[in-house]
Amino acid sequence: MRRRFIRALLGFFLWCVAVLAFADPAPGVATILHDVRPGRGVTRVAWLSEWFTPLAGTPADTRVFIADSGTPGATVFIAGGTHANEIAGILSAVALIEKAIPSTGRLIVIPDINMSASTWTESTKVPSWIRIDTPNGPRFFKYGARYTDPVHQGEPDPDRYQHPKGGEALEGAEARNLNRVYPGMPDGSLTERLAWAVMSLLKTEAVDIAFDLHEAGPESRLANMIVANPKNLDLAALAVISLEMEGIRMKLEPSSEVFHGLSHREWGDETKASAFLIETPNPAQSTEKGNPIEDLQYPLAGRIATHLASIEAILDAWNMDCPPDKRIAFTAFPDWRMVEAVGVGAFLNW
Amino acid sequence: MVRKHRSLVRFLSVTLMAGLAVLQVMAQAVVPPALLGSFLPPGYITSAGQTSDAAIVKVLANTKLKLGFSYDIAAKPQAIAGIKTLVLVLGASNKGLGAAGLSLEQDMERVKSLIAEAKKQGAKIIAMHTGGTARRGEASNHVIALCVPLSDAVIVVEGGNTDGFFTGLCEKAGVPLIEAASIAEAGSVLKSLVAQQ
Repeated sequence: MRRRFIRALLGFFLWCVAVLAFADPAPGVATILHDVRPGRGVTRVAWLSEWFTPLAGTPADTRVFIADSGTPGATVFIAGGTHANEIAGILSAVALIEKAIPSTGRLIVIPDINMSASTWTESTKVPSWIRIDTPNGPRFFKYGARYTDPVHQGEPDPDRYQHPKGGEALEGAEARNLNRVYPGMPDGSLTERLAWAVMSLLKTEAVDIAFDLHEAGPESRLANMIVANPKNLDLAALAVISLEMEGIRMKLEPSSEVFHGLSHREWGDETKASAFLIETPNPAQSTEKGNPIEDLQYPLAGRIATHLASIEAILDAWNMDCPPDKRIAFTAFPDWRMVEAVGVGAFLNW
Repeated sequence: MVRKHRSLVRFLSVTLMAGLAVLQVMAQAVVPPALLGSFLPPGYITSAGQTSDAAIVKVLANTKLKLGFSYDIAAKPQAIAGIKTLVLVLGASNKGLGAAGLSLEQDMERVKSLIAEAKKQGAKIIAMHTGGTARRGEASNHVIALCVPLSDAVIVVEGGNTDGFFTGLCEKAGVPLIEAASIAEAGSVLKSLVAQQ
């Protein structure tokens, strides 16, 4: 009896091994699974490959978190991790997944939109992981790279990267920069296929408002800036005025007419979405490679607060002038003032 | 004893509130009475230097304050026919100049011709600088130095005049300078300058 049981157990074990060895890889299995703990608002978790099947099983496939209120309204898309070292954008997206609950409309969030970039770290002067303390213990988040992993890209960088729509040729590594290759190509490099998948999602889901969350070196012109597609510049201008009244000084720029491949330019031009890019100052992106978390002048909590406040201000501006059936409202949204005061840990799930 | 303390608390509260009120008044921009309502509609907003701050002023003036001013970031003289107030938003932006297909010199020529047209038709000019230190580079200073002496009033948001650049230009040209603590306050100043119809 005992011998039969052991044989059965052994058989089951071998069957499991065989299934794992010969089965198709699950979507995104080649990547790391980031610690994202969806909150009550999230109604579905999908993979980006759902919008572009060839991405399935590649290191660029990534999870898509959807919070659908069930009440008609605007569809809002938020991307963190276009550059996986721009950690305030990633954590802002995670905080939204874990705490935002829409009451009208729909929220679609991808916290690690360039999954491949989040699997490696470019410099030894920055951390590979960061620790965020929450009331229920620490959580860890990957501090990734700006570019797609060259191994994942599957082809060597060109000498110079030239966007198909024209403009100035860039350094070859920019071919692996997700925010240079939009709208992408269905049969292009991994980064171009990823961009194509994002465009497909924006179109298929009829996204109304799209945000790409970034960071820049504190000395950069881009630090503390909202970049808006020209068609929705007024919404961003209204937000800048509101933010200033809250003590947050953001600069404003329209997308360049001649610099192609950027999210705010191509998302706005090729889909119906109002497209915005938000930049906060990350000390680790300065030439001195400062601390990305605990810098006295630019602490992570303050940068996340700026992202959340900017999103809120733009959505408020949108609601002022949109048709009644295109509003976006929330019963819960991470309070940026509290994030600034007590840190983002208080807004992450246990 | 308790009564004595109560009186003290009352006295301190009243003093504190009065102090805060005084501070609030002091923080508000001071508009010379002669300027209040002295600029007439219709108005027109454009940039001098192609700064996107012009879009912020447009939204502030029209969406927030309902002034109903026309707007074109790169307006040409023929666009301002019939206006009574021209608002120039100051600041040079390479990106903005590139988008408009203009060099800084070409944009300054455009601005000179706009100012000449405004003066010709008796319109008054308000120069506004809302971009703070970020819009105070060398190119922006050229634009500011061109426009300020030819304006009838100048509004500057805090941070743009920490070095007294605007103060010096305005004093030399005899142009009233109004400093505002924020973009929103600059909007209130603008509204107070424009005669209500």
